[in-house]
Amino acid sequence: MVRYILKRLLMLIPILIGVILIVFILMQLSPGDAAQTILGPQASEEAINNLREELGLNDPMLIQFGRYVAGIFRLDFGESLKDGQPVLNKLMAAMPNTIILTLAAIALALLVGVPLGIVSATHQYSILDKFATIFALISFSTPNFWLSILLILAFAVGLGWLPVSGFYGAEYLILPMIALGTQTAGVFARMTRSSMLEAMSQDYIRTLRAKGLGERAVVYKHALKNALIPIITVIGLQLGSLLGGALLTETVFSWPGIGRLMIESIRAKDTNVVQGGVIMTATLFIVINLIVDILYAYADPRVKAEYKK
Amino acid sequence: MKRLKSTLAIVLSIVCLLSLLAGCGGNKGSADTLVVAQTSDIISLDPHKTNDSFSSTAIVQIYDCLVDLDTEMNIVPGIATEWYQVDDTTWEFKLREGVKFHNGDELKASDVKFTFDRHIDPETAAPAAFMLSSLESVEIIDDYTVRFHTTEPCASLPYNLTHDDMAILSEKAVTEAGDAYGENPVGTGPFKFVSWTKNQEMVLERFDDYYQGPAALSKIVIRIIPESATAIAELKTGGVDIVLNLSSQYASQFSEGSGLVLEQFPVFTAVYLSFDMRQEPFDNVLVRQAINYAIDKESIIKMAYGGYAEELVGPLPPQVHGASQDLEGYTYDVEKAKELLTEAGYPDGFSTTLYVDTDEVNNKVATVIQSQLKEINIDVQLQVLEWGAFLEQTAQGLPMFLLSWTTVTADADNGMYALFHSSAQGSQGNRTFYANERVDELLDSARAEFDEEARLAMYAEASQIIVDDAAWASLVVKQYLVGMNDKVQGFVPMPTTFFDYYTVSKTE
Repeated sequence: MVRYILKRLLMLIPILIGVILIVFILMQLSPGDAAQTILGPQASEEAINNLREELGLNDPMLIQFGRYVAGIFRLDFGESLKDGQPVLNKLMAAMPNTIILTLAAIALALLVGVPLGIVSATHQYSILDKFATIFALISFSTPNFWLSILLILAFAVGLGWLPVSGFYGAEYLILPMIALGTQTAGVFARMTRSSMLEAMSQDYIRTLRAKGLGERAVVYKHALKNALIPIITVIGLQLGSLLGGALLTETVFSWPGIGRLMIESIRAKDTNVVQGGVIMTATLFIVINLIVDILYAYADPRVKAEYKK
Repeated sequence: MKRLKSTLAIVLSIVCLLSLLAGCGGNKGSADTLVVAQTSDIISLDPHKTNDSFSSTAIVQIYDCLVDLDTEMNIVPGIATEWYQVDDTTWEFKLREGVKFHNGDELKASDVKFTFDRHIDPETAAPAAFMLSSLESVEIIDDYTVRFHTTEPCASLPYNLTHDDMAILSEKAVTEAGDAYGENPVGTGPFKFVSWTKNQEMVLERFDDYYQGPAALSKIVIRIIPESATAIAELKTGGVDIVLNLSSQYASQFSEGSGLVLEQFPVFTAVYLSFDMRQEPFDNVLVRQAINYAIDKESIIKMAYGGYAEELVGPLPPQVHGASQDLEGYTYDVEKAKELLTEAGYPDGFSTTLYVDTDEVNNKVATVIQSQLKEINIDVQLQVLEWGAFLEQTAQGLPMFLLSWTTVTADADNGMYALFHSSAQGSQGNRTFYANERVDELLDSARAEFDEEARLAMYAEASQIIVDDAAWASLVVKQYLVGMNDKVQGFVPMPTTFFDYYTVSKTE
């Protein structure tokens, strides 16, 4: 097991270098000169050249790339082209807020989605199942942006129960959490339903029922445990993508997270922040995938046995 | 079920933890706190590191300039009480005595010299330094007198010094803070810096020793809210008091009885269609005039700006100091346009490409122009470029493009020299590659003309020549929209978009 984890951790390095290379090339290829963007339409040629020189943009691409990679190994992602702040500081300031929002949304989605999926599966084709299916369909086909604005209009402007935007306390978390969690809940509900249905149709379930085990124990103790693997996979994937920053939700709720930082930096052509942000979220995504893989082993003894070989 | 309960417990404990961590925030309500919303964060509080409207929101409050503009665009005393011209290339400024910095020190002539030395130092790479391109040095005469020496006559210098990035810094504070100065500003303005949570909010607080007396507000909070719909929701619920730079599509939310107020006023931003005059067919003045006649500005204002813009006749917005009020421009006349095009040798029109940046409104404008030029058989392809690329390529020369220029100093020199002088072709502003000897001569001699009437007459003449040459198709002057709740009193709209909250107060 330990060897397996170590191997996976080592594999991180080539993947990350690939990510860095792709991001770097993409940012180089995208049109527009950073110095010109920063200084705007009234800048003199001389000022633009001075700034290009200062930012090291006049050096050959290979040298810029080498300098960048060398920096990353010292955890130095360079400085923001927009305000001169170290990129790492900016990412570190935004990341906790995104993590809080992501965890809250995933928790909400688990609380709503998984029970809904279980009930749908155990009461297949009932009214409840149909309701759950409709909920799931609506929830993941509702544009997030639109739902966010509706939530603000209803609960903040209309009823006045909750604050509109920003992050100054726990009550500010509720609306964005619902906006983000609803969609994920739909995904979880569908996944749980199909995976539970499959588990429930297995022979051992029939055996359990035949030997007189209570339905509750059959469903929660045996079927659910076997249905968990696909659910864990989906949770991992959702976690990874939400940690990349929910761009629209964060923008509508003025949530000071990584998604908003990225959008602003792309607009300002702040390449250093964009590169740093992509590398950071890619790393997180890979690490979460690794954790999910390890969790499989705990959920499924068969997988654990595989690792031992 | 057990599993569910434990998940619930985890969620609840996370929420509790969060409220402990972040529970101290929230800036609602208080009668002497003004909450201002803008879409993007302040870049720096060092005026030598910025030249953008987002940073200005805070910089205007924290600092003072030597001279200021009143609402009529006249120059009025700031830190300097009087100023006059010693000779062609020297201006003298008398400083007010007893002006205190936020750190308690008194402002002296040495601070003024230090500020401008630092601003024009190439090492500083200040984005607003172009406004001081003719400044050679600042000389200290005594503690309260300074002289500005320029390399060439610069009649518009006092205007340039009203820009918020020309604020006076404390030599001691800048030297002590070093690279961290942008987050530890020390000015002489009515509000001093308290805290800054990046991408979220900045807090300023009243400076009691302000030389004009303490402000009415005790606190200003600048909140960053990127989405306008959210900002308006905040306005309705009292979370913010002022929303800066609203897009016109939200104007309908400010109906009567909503408790919200919409302030609208023209700013110094001229939106224009232009050409690379070196390229065919735009090297032909008749073609450029034909395009001018073919454009219906009224429908552009209606369709792209929702009515929130004004027609632009010449190169300068009419509020700019030096803008001629009686220019003869072009009226909308399709027949005349067709005639001119035929005379120019294009009876069947031609095809060309109109370049525009990614801005939503600009794209609407471009689409309207595309359909209007179709009327005179000019077949226009639209090409959208990312802003940096757009600036870079227009500096090299693009056949037709849509751009705007903001006359940041409120004076004609800034609004015309870089755009029309042949020496400024390319990235400095003259992306039209316009070259007219008489215009060059007028723009040069206006810089050296200290008789104000004669100076303004020169700009008027140059403007008319530029209009006759049809270097641009002048389109509109942008209007700036500010949303407020009805508790806000004393907001002064300024076409410079530098808003000073010293005069603002709030009613219960």
